[in-house]
Amino acid sequence: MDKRKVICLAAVIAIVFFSLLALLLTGNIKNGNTACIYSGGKLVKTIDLSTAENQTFTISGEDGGRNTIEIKDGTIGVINADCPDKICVHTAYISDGVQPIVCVPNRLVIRIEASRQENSHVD
Amino acid sequence: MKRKYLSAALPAAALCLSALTACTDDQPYTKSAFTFDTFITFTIYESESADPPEEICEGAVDMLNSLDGELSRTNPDSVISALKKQAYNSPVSVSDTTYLLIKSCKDLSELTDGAFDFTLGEISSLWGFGSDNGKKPDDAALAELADRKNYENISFDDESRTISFTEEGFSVDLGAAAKGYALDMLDSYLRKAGVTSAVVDFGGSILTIGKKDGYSWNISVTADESDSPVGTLAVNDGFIATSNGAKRFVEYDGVKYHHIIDPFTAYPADSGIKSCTVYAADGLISDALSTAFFVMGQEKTEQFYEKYKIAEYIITLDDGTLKTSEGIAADFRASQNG
Repeated sequence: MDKRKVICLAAVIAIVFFSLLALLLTGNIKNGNTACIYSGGKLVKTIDLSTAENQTFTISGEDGGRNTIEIKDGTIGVINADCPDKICVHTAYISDGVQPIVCVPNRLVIRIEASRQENSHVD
Repeated sequence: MKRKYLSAALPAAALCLSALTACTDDQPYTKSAFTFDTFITFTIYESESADPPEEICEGAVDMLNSLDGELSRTNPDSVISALKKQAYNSPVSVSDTTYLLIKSCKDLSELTDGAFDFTLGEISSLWGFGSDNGKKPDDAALAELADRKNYENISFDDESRTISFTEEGFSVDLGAAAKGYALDMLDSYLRKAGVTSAVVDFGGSILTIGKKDGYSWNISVTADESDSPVGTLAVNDGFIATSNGAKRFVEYDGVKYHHIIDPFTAYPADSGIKSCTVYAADGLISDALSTAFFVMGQEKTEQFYEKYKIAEYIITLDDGTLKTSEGIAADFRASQNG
């Protein structure tokens, strides 16, 4: 193998290595299931369900609405809310997200996103 | 020019190193919003429009907000509220959109012999769906409102576009029809805007436009409060609506009462159907018939299907058994655990 071929091969390996590094650093390679919690259209919390410990916490919306959220065994759900219809509480816990959990009165959305997409918007 | 919406997240550095980025999946444009007392998510895969997809979606949401202002039962300034207040005393002038919707609803009520009834506003109010401070309605009060077929007491004047009530004591509730009609309008809007491949999830009701990368859409069909699908339905252009009482209900003295009222009893429907999904070429029909079939039960649904064949269904019975109409059986794949 002459010197020029070795340099070419090294260049290709370097390109592949740095491309992989760039994709890893920018989160473009899919990782675990991440629960994204939006309140009033803003992303207020992200939780990696594959590593998160069981816990409960409360999200307060801009209009004062409150939803108490539980992480349990790699799933996420709403256990209490001050909204009138309680549809968010009646929705089963999610982990891999065909449907999001939505509280319309409190403008809360919990969505599972395998990899974060920058061109996804919640208003 | 046909445009595909790629992920904006692709880093510039990786773009330069094209050897690997060629492997990155195309990402559609997605946008979600609250409207119509529910949550909507647009996913646009292809468009021939010069307008950016965010502009198209924003225009669509504006249109839905405007329609909701007309049709809401809880908004005191809506057309529905005006009908309740005035339509018995004098004809109420309404927009072409609302006129067509309410007239179509009357046709569907007649077609389903009242299983779909859009004049149950007073019964819904008594049950207190959507509020957390009600109490179980009195049996006698419900019996008084049951089996009235009040849609027969609505008259229309095509020339003046006015609606009148010929009896008192009822109000319109378009909860089982408005979302489907809104999806019809959305379908026209998006197609006119140049969208050629998209799926819209409108609080669980689905609109599909075109195909996804040349293949049919695989839509998950759910039947309860969980997001575990009972199966997937392969469809091209069309509308899918699901009716069940899993998430929207009130609880009095520890008993759950879901929101789909049987017009003949004024109580939550108890027909043996746990959940009903309807696929049709028309949004209003899919929405109204999913409610009608849920009220009718399996046997009457099968008879209706044989007679009219205007929509396909997937029914989950109370015991978990799945029933699909013959026109859709080949396109539905039940889940392994379903």
